[in-house]
Amino acid sequence: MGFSEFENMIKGLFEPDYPFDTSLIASWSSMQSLIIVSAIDEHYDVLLSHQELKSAKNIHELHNIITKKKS
Amino acid sequence: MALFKVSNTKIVGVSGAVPKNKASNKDLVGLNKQQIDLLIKTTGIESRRVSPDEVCASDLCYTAAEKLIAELGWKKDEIGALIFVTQTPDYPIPGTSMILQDRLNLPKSCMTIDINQGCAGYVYGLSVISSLMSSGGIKKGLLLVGDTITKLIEKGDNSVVPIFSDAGTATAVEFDTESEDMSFNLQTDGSGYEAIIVPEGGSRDVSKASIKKMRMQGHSVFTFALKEVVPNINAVLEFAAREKDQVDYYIFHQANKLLNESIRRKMGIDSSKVPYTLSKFGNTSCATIPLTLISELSNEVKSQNLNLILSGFGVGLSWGACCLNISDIVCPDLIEL
Repeated sequence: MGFSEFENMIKGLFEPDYPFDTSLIASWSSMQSLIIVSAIDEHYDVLLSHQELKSAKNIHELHNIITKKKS
Repeated sequence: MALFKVSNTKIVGVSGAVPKNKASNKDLVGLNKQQIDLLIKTTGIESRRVSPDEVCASDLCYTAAEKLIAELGWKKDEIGALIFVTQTPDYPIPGTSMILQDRLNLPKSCMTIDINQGCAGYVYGLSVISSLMSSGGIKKGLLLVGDTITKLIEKGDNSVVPIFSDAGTATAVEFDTESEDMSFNLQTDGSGYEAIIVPEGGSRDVSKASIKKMRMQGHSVFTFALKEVVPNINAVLEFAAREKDQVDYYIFHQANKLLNESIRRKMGIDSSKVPYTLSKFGNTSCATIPLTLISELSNEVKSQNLNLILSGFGVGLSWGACCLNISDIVCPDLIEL
């Protein structure tokens, strides 16, 4: 899955009007984080720890972490 | 490896009691409507049961047990074992199982054990009581499983308040040489003990305040369950020589909808085989599995022969699954106390 597809998948998890900043992972609530971790596990078969999630500043970096874990 | 079979015992009845008092997640303080809607959609929890100060888990279990004993027509002096699974005992000392033996007027020949277990507690407790009874020395036993976990939750802590709820249950087990084996797969990872913890009130640090508050590292618990539950169930199915589609119902610990649905999809199970009580009762800790049987499958367990998988996971960290058959059991209506 390329980055655009990944980004669309993440954005599609929430209602369009839900306040959600893909460029700032630190702003995600714990609920949002779990929804995203669950979706990543389902689509990529990659389970992200709390540390791995928080080590990414934005979803570009998150995508890189997932790609690295997959390889 | 704690992968084993237990012969000669069967479940003959299940009953439950919940507090009358309901709390709605729509009324949560500190969250806006959008946040509440997302929380309800994600957890699947709309309503919870919260016991008043004076009601303990033992009270809920006691009420459930009296009803079950009466409906089974058991003579109390035939009951040889009582196991009480809880994390909210009446007192640090003595064990609550002893108090329940007395309250229920069970004979002095009845052995009692307290087990401190959370979300996997029903499966663990069932493994202990069935193993104890398997040799035939004890013909009738009671497994009481319940928690008033809301007593350990800090008001306003929205990481735990919207999730947890109170319930007590009773399961009647009989010795029967004609019964099908129960298969168990029980596991533990104590390195995760801090993932769900009440740090106060034990003897590790006596300087801490006596007010006990539960803390939960949601992410750690979530990823633990996503990783461990499916292989645990698959192993017990293989051990029991049972195919996935031969199971009529998978009764999961009711953690939250997001996690449980992720597990269901990983298992490749149809949603019709996975009943939920999250919406009505939330996460009632060790009581979720029997509560789901009573609330959602009452007609089926009373009249049908069912192959079940029971799967509990959480505090400890500990997790376990049981593959068993039940048929025509006694299952009184859920009691509100």
